[in-house]
Amino acid sequence: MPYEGGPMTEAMYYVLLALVHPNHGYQLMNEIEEVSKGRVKMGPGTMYGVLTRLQKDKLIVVVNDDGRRKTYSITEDGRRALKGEYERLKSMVDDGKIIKEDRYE
Amino acid sequence: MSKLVRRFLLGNLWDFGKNESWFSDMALKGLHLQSIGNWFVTFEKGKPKKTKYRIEILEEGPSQEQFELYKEYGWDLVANKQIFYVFSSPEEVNAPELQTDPMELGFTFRMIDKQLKKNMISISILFLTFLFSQFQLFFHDEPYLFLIKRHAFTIIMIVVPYIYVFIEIIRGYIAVKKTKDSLLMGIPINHKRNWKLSYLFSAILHVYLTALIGAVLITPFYTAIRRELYTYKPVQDTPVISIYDIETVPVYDYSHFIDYDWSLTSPVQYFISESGYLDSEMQDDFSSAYLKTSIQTRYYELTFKGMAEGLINDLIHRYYREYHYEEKLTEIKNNKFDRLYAASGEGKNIVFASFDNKVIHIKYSGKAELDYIISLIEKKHNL
Repeated sequence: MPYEGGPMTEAMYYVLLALVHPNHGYQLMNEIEEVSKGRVKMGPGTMYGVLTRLQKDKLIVVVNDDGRRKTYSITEDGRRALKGEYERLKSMVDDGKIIKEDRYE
Repeated sequence: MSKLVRRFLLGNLWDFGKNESWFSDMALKGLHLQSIGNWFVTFEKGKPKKTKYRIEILEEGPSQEQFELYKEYGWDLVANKQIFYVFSSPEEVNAPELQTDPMELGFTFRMIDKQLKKNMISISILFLTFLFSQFQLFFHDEPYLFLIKRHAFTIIMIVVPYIYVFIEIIRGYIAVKKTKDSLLMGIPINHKRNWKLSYLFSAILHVYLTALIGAVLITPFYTAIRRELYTYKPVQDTPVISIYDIETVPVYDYSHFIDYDWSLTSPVQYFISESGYLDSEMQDDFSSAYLKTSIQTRYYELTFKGMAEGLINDLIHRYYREYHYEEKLTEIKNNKFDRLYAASGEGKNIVFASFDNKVIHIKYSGKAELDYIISLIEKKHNL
């Protein structure tokens, strides 16, 4: 089922994010951890699962495959999806500000 | 070279949790997963060790880097079959999980579920078409006469392997669907699922199906042996009524034909045909100095008593109509028989009788009366 907008899983969001610069599996793992400041600890099985799915949905492409390792990069569709999700998350965070402002504090 | 141990692959590979916990239990007994074949799983004998196993579906040829990354996380590839890759890790290493997001794994399963569903539909159609073509044989107008034939069993049992394949496909599909549903609800795979009950069920099914297939293969040989034993019996020693039982005067020019058959549903079957000539009053034109006498008997002992009624109906359907008797077949009340039908006239008698699990059909032409023939059946079978 191709991606048609809507909430992404955390794994999908971070993989797309880490592929803004072309990357291969090994570095991707590190990148995700780095970008999330160590918060997201993704299993390699999950990461490769996401890569396979995103590739099928044409949100990412393999830009290089030397037989030993594959280098992936985000596509235009991928960028659009990522941006859409970013906006969605941002407005969620904005909306959540009331927690800080008043009575819940 | 270490010792290899083989075990029948009882689970469906799509049942991740059950297989993983089975492999772990085996490792605890010192049997470490080595490879997975179509029917058997091979284990290498070694020291008992607490080991975790994870099955991964890697649809596209995984890169070397992927395996290296898994290894760095503490997971070694131990076996692979088609798109199933099994990784293992010693329990004490406490390796981080390969799958950390049930939803994402759920998406993978959803894709597989879709593919399997398509396959299931086409295979089901094929299977049903096949079943129908097989069972059309039963829908002919004399089903019981078909069922007692020797090859009926074989024909029915040819379906067994197909049923087996069909069951396996359905099992796989159910496993995928259940896993998909629970993953998409955010429930991770239970790697310690109890496999014992479902493997027991599977083992029973396998033994049963194997026994059936074995029986199909043995039946022709067994039949041949049984046939051999019975073919050379004198007619008088068989459960049928012989011409010598009926006729009180000498029979000249006697000849007979005897055929014995055996099947699972009817282990004793005779077809006996006898004929000869009797002294008779000479006619004015010197013809018919001898009266022809002949008897044809079909006799069946059935495995299931319940088949007797159906068989007698089929026999009437086939043989009463075949000979175009003008005499009407009537049911005769006789408490020694479960069913008794007869027609007689012009020196011909025809009887269809069933008692207990036995069915007999007699066609006689000669001097003897119908009542006498029936009494002979009673006497021979101590009714």
